[in-house]
Amino acid sequence: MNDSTATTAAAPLLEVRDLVKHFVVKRSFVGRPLTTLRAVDGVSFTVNRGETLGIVGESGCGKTTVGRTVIRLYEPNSGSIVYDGTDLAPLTFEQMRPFRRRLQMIFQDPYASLNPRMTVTDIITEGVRDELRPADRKDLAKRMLETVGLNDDHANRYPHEFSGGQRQRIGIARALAMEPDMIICDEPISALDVSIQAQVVNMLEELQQKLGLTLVFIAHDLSMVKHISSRIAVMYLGRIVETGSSYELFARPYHPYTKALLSAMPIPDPDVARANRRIILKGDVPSPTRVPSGCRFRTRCPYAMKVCSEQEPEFREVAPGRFSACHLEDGAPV
Amino acid sequence: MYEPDSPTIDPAAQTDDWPLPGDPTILFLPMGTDVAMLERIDRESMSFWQDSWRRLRKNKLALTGGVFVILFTLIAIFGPMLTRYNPNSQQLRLTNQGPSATHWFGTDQFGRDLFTRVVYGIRISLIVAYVSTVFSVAIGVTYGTVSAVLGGQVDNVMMRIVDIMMGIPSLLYLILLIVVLGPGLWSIIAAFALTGWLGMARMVRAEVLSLKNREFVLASRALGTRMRTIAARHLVPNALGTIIVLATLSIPGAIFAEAFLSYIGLGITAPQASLGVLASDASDTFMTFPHQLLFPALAISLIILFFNFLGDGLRDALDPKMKK
Amino acid sequence: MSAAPHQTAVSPRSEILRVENLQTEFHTSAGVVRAVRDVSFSVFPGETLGIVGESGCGKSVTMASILRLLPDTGRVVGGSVFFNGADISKYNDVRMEAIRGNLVGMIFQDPMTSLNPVYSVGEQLIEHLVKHKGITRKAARVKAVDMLAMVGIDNPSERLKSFPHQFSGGMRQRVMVAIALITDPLLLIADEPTTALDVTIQAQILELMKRLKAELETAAILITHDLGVVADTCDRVLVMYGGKIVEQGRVGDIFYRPQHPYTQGLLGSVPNPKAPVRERLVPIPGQPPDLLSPPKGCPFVPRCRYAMAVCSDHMPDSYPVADGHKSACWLQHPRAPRADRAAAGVTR
Repeated sequence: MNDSTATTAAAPLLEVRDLVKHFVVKRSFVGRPLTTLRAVDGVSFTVNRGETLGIVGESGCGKTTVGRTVIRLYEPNSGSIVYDGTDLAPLTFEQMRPFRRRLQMIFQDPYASLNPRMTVTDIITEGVRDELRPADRKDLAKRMLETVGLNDDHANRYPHEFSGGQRQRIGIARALAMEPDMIICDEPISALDVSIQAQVVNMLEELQQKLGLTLVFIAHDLSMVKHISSRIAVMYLGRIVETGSSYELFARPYHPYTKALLSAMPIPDPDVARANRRIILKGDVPSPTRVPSGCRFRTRCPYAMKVCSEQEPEFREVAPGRFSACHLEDGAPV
Repeated sequence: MYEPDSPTIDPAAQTDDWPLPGDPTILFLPMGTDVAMLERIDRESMSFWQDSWRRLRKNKLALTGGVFVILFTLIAIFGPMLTRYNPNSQQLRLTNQGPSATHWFGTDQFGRDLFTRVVYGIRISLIVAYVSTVFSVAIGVTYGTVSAVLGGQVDNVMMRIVDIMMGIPSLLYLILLIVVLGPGLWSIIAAFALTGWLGMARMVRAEVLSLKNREFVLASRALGTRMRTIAARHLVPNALGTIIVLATLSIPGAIFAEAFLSYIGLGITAPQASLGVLASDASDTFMTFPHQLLFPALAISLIILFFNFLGDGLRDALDPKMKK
Repeated sequence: MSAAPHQTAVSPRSEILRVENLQTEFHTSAGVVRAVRDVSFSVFPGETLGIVGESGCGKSVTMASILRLLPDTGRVVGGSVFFNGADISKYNDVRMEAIRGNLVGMIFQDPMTSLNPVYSVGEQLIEHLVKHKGITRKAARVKAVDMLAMVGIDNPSERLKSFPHQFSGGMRQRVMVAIALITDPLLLIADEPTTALDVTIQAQILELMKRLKAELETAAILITHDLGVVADTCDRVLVMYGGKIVEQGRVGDIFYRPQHPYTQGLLGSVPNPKAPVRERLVPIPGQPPDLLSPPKGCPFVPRCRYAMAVCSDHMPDSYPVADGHKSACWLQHPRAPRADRAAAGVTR
């Protein structure tokens, strides 16, 4: 990790600026948009080489859409996605293809992310199918299977024969076969059992060290995100409300939402859990089709003020390396 | 406050009264964990099709249906070898005979051998059913897949066209087509293909739309696979189960519709005869010569019945919701 | 939990639920799945019993077997269930109806499966009360409004007219809590009540359940896979694996002195966000057990670090570690090697 810190200062591997992705969920008869879902509504972040950026938030906050838009599964409405000096946002699908060797993704549902009609070898080598001869593809699949702790016996089997954790590792092998610099992990463990989650997380960490990967780890499980990430971005309703190094963000959260989120996190330690004073937020997350005016969090914020409904808070540096979007003086309430 | 811990028990109470199933020096030998064993899969590898076949095999009714469908198909292909009569040669001295050793199903009003005519009728009926289904599957799958893959306004327009065509009663549509094309085998096939694909296109579109948002399709996109390849590699193969079931279940409909059209005189033209034509011809005299109606009607019913058995069995075997 | 004093050590007469040697099987096309194998436990007044384990461990099937809510393929093949002193395992459906949803309140993961979408929430609450308590609709309506207010739904008399789909996920789960508790049940069974909810909503529901349980002094069974939820809410814990209870004890026993290698593995698999230094996770190797062909002995043996020759063929008894803390593991045997016992006894 040390040698990567030097390059870090130079240029981040990924720099996302003001990314916007809206979905039209309802159209009029003539095709005019009636309801727009503002899934990602002006998101900026950077990912440095070799680090792991965690993106956390509750369902509907847009974290999955951010990942999918960055890897251009979705067409961004506006904003830039600068990957190693190239803006990916305006690229066509064909222009984007070379970058897919370098930027890969791991999906959430180990049952839905593998084609049930294909063998493991075909799944793992799908991305390089046109470039390799069948024998080379077999070799590659075998090497990749070994990398993720599986073996040759598994090569000709079908996805339904594997357990959830094994399938997720096949998904990892598929991404690794492209030899990427960066992998976006979209809730890679949330569908897995507790004991299997740790297997997958440890494997990601080992692979990162061995191959020098850069990871974006998207999840709703705060404790796992803290465990694996070097930096964390907290999302709420299409926006990033706070960023910081993983340790500092947990030690001293600035944004009221981050505070509530951290206090609501279940802790597997009875004494600590029972001593924990929870900030219980009222109500639910508003629908991303009806985003509140001003600060998006104001409808649930215990410290909401008049200004919050009128003016959107600026995402500003509240402490060295710490950014938060809140009208409160330093983000910390009196 | 809560009491987190249980009170300790007197160690003296932990007497050695827990029976052991053998010699402790052996029983308590550490085994260690075999890492390779942990990843081993004991069950035999099975593709989706092998697994479906295993399930289908267990379904007696479907299997019976399948065997008879094959049998009828073989009769349609090789049937003429079973008989020494020409289906159209008239023996005016031997009209309206009952079943006998020489004429197994008897003869009709022109003295033609009824068995031979039923065999040829099966041939014509199955040709109509199979060929029209092949065409409607080809058109329907292509249309439905293209519509779902392109999506948006294109999908909208393509599906409204299907809606409009489905709004026209298919019988009216068939009659019009046959009037335009003129009656005959190929007109019937064309007419069926041109009406049959609509339902197929709708089903395939619905299936592909749901598959299109599955994560394995997104994963393939993320690997840089072009949409055309995705359709061929991921979408259609996964919709194939539905397509096969729908095609199998649409065959009885085609056979029945053909019989009906022939019955009202819009079907196959003489001297060729489908099962429908045979039944139609026999219906005038069925009070006196019931066997002339019985055999073609029986053939129609059995074929439809067995296709339905097979189709239902295939649906159970191929339906992913029944899986696991 | 300031409510009832703990009566764990009191005579078994006072227990609300006692399950003895429960066994449940599922008949599938692939063979017989023995989902629950010889499970015995008790629930005492006022306590919250947590049942933890991973998917397929039998925790939900245990509850469904007790309440006889098994799907058609499942069958209870052995054991008895005593509820409030009576053996309910022989009860017919009519008599079970009088217990389910009345003396035993139930909360499930997905509220939409238990709420009828075509009736208003009020109608369902009132109907439920009239059916089980035989009171007038008018009295039932008053109670329903009180209950909705109690579970934190604003403007309850208006919300009574709303339909389930008009509530958000968290609000729907509140309605479920209201329905479960409105009949003053002796026992509340919650099966993964917060699994489908977001963290901040989960906190709301857990807080609500804790408050109401204390106010109403109901005993509760909480089924979950989330160790954090257990640590926060439960008094006693059963750990299940492969259809069996592998360890049970008070919450401190389980979290601070886990004895069974599976419990230890489970705890090693989750990061503790409050830990001062970042610890490496120690996952359990291998895959979840195949219930179609479970090992003859301990179900955990293929994944166990301390597996011994005896383990694969002989299921260990549940052996007491402390009063009320039991572990079903051969390492507990007084003649098992000390070194392994010490290693297995390592606590966090």
